[in-house]
Amino acid sequence: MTIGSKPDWIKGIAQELDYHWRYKDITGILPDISIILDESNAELDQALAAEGIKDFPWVSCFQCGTCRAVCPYTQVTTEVNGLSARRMLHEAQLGLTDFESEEIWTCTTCDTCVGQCPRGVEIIDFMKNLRRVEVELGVGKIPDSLRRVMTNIASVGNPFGEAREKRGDWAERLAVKLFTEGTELLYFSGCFPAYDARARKIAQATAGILEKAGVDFGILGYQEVCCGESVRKAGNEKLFKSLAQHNIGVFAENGVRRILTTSPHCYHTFKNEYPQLEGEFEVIHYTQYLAQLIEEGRLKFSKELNRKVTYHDPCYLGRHNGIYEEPREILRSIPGLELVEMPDSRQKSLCCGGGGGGIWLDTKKGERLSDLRLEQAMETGASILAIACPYCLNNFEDSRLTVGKGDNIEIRDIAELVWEAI
Amino acid sequence: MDERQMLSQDEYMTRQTNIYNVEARENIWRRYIKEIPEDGYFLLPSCVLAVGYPGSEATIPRLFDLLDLDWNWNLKPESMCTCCSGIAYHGDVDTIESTLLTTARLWSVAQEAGYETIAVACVTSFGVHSECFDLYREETGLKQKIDKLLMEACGRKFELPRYIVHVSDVIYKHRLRLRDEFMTYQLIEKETGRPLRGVDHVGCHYNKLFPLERSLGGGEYCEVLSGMIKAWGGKEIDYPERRHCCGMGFRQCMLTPNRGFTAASVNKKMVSMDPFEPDFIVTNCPGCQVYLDKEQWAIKELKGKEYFIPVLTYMELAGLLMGWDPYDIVGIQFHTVPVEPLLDKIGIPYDESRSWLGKDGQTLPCLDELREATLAAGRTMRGIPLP
Amino acid sequence: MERKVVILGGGVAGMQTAIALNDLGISSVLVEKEQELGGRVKNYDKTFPFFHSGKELVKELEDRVRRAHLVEIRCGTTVSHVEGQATHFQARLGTGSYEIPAGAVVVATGFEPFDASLQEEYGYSIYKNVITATELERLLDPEELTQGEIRRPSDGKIPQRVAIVFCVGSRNEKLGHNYCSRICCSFSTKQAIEIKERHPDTVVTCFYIDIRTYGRGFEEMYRRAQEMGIIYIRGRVAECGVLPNGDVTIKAEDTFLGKPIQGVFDLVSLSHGMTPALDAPKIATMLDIDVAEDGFFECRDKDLYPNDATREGVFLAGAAIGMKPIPDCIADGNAVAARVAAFLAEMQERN
Repeated sequence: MTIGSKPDWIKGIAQELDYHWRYKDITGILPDISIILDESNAELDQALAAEGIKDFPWVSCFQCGTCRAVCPYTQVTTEVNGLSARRMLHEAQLGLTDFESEEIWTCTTCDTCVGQCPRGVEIIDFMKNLRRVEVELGVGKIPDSLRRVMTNIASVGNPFGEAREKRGDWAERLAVKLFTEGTELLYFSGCFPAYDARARKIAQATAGILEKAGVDFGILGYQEVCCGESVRKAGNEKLFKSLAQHNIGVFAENGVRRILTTSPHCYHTFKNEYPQLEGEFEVIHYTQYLAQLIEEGRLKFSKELNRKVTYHDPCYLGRHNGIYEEPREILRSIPGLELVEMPDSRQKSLCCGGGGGGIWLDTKKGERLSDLRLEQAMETGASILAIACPYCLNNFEDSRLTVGKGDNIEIRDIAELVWEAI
Repeated sequence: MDERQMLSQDEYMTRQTNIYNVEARENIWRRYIKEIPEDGYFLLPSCVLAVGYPGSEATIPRLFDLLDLDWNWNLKPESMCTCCSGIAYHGDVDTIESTLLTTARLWSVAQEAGYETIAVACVTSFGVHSECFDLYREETGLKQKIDKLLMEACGRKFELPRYIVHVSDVIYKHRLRLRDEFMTYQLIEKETGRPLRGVDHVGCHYNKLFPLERSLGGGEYCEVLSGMIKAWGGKEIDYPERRHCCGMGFRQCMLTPNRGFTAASVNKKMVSMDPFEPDFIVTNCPGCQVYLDKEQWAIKELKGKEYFIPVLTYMELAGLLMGWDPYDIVGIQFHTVPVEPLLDKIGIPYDESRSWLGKDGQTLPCLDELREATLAAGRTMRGIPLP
Repeated sequence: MERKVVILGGGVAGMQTAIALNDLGISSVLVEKEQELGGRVKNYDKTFPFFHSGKELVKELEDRVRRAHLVEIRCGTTVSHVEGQATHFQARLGTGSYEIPAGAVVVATGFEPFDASLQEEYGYSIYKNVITATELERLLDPEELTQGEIRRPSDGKIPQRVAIVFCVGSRNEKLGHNYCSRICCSFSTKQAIEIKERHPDTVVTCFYIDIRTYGRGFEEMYRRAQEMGIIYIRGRVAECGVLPNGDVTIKAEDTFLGKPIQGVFDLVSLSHGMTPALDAPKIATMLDIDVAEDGFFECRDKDLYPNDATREGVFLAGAAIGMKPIPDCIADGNAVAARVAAFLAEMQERN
């Protein structure tokens, strides 16, 4: 019986009888923070079932913690419960995944953990499937910037929301031909080099190099759409499939057999993922091709580039696809160029934060991996940081503006450096 | 509680034997038998219980006299019993040396009166006395040090008492005698003949502090209150949070920022015991009594869920079953959760108007008006606590 | 000097010792206190990590023992008194006057499963739906009462959620057992796999402190268990309670997530550790050999003489020296036979 329910004639003396002072400082009964074991993985199971996977396949994790120890993200966050693949796997097994949490979107799929996992757990697949749950079942919250990108890609085939027809505009004033049946090489620039002002210079440099080397190549311009690699990693399987089928159709129609890419992400998906949808092509990354051209003597340098340069191995070129030497061969063959290695190079290369959809997210200042990597680059004393991926380019250019003394170093794509020296 | 369908005795017993091995449950506590002397107790009353539940504390001397035990407390007016300083010690206000000194003095008073058994009414106090006793055993030179300090402080000498028991141990020992010679009621539902289901909540410092030596029945399956319930006709309940602390703890209940913890602990226990449909809770610790009783009200205010299972001390329970007046002697009007429904079940008659009477049957003057108005409005005085 | 060997205990280690001694041409008397040979393994349907049949293994060994000409088998009796010295022992059987002159004595008395009711907080022997691994083993046995189906004791229904509690009675200072019983992680994982195979929809959760499945094939068994979807939570179970419908509540901490965890299970199985055989102290006194602090028999030198007791002429085999899996018991039997043979030969030469 509360004071409120007492008859009126009592309320007069209610103040004297007021005992609520005893409870006024309890704001509530402390909640029980225990986990109640209720092993229902309903949402995750549905998403897996859609992919034909019946049981939770990542259970052989024995919680050793190697993944968290090697994860680059641990170097940029002081949060106790920061990104931890081990913990997320255990939570998923118990049906406790917090789909509202941001950490599901934090993983950049850089492949460091997968390379070290003693049980061979496919952690990237796991992260991708967590995201699929969110995208396909509408659970949790997809970051706004990512949602915008997916909408753009779905409607106009590129993440920037720019007009589809302008995809080939970067090549306007260059002598680049349209790919037709019989052209030897398709140059697939990728969305960033096609539309982004800074990245366009890579595409233009590449086109110039190929032309000077006398390579028979062409582009497909507005007929192409985004390769879909980042949206697939961000969990949008449906969108990826539609993009891939579109591209495969266009390539097949035009008789494409060999594709040259600028971005390691496009390279990765064309080479490893398109074949699952019956799109079999010979895919070459431009660093492989340029190294080959240089070796064959088809590309000769006429100028010197007297700079100290350090090279950052992109995750999708290095760890995912094993291409470490060719970019270095190119750089070493440029006359006057001094190549220095950063710590954490090759397999241990520190991710720039662009993969797994990370390029589309607004990462908080102080948590940007590219800041850290840029500092490592500057410590080598190099005046140029050479990269081979447009995402890396974008992230490092951003970091350059925010990191202290960032003006001391310039970011250049390998294609740009080669173009300067021939 | 009235809306809920109580299980029939048959259904309950079937359910019990399915999930319990009843015989093993009856015997597991026998591993830990505590030696309790038959007689010769020096009683140390509690500090808190006399304030909150005066009927409860006053029942102890009556019970001892009824059983014709050799007992005593303050022999000389000047050697008064003091608080054992448990509140200060557990509330981090005092040091262990002060506590050792205080208990040494109390033991000295007891020995002066010629008793070698200390019977303590409060469980925290029991814990404090046991702890001090153990310290002397473990630390060499401590006794000499306290001897010296005690002599300096009040000119007394002391020895370690032979037995330290809790009053519930005493009542346990004499439970059958109470039942056979004095009890007129049993813990059985009058209409159906079903034994009442009781929750035995033993204070933490009784069975968890020294579970092997000083707890009757050990730490996990403490028998001291269970034994009383069973002897007096009822059945004890085993529910998952049986061993959970009531949350009282001086550090929790006395400090405002921690109050939510006390309420949460009681809530956890209530939620856990609810499916077993208990009829009452019996406690042997003043702190548990206060908080299990009062926090049920707080839970109702904060969560809206009314458990309202009456909480009694073992002395009150003994008094009620012996037919002593529920208001004048046992003092159930001081309880927050109404005890009258339990009395109805057992079939003990009571006159609610007596709940507003003071000493010697005189009406408390300032509430005369209130009582008249309430009765005139056709309501009972139940549920309105005293200021 | 006498050349016969008395073997105390007709379990796997004891039988293998007798067989190996027979192969070396040395006669032995195999004394077993129960009516049948085979010790504990004769009750096991499947062994770990390869899921072979324990019963058939014992049958095979028993066959060989019975065919061995130099082995005398005595069941249903014990050695009550041993007098004399190495190479001149006199062992008396039972209460009668039958005495065996022996050159050496082998102790292969095995182990005793820990009495789980001593760990009161788990409520074993009080809550019907809390069972031990030994009882679970019988439930899993297709030749036993439930034909290999797991049915919980209180109401016979097939459990949907099973919890297996590791480390009951071992690694516990309060109970006086500081040692690790070595094989419990393994047999618990084996049982978890078997439950999952019989009832694929049942969720099996194991609560552990460490997973100690070492040895060839053991880690692989653990991985297999994980891949079958058995959940492993690192966190020792603190207590069990029971709900009105017989379900058992468990409280533990999930140390991977750093949070307390509570769960309700239909059936809880306690993987008890092993203690030395109940008559080990009596045997130690009778043979005048030492018992180590943990209650198992002490060896002459832990590195170089792991099968010799502390008295000349007395040897140790099998679980009596400490828990070990079956292949190791067989190895012990062979090792002891070699040691006995060497010992007897050495004594022969001296004389």
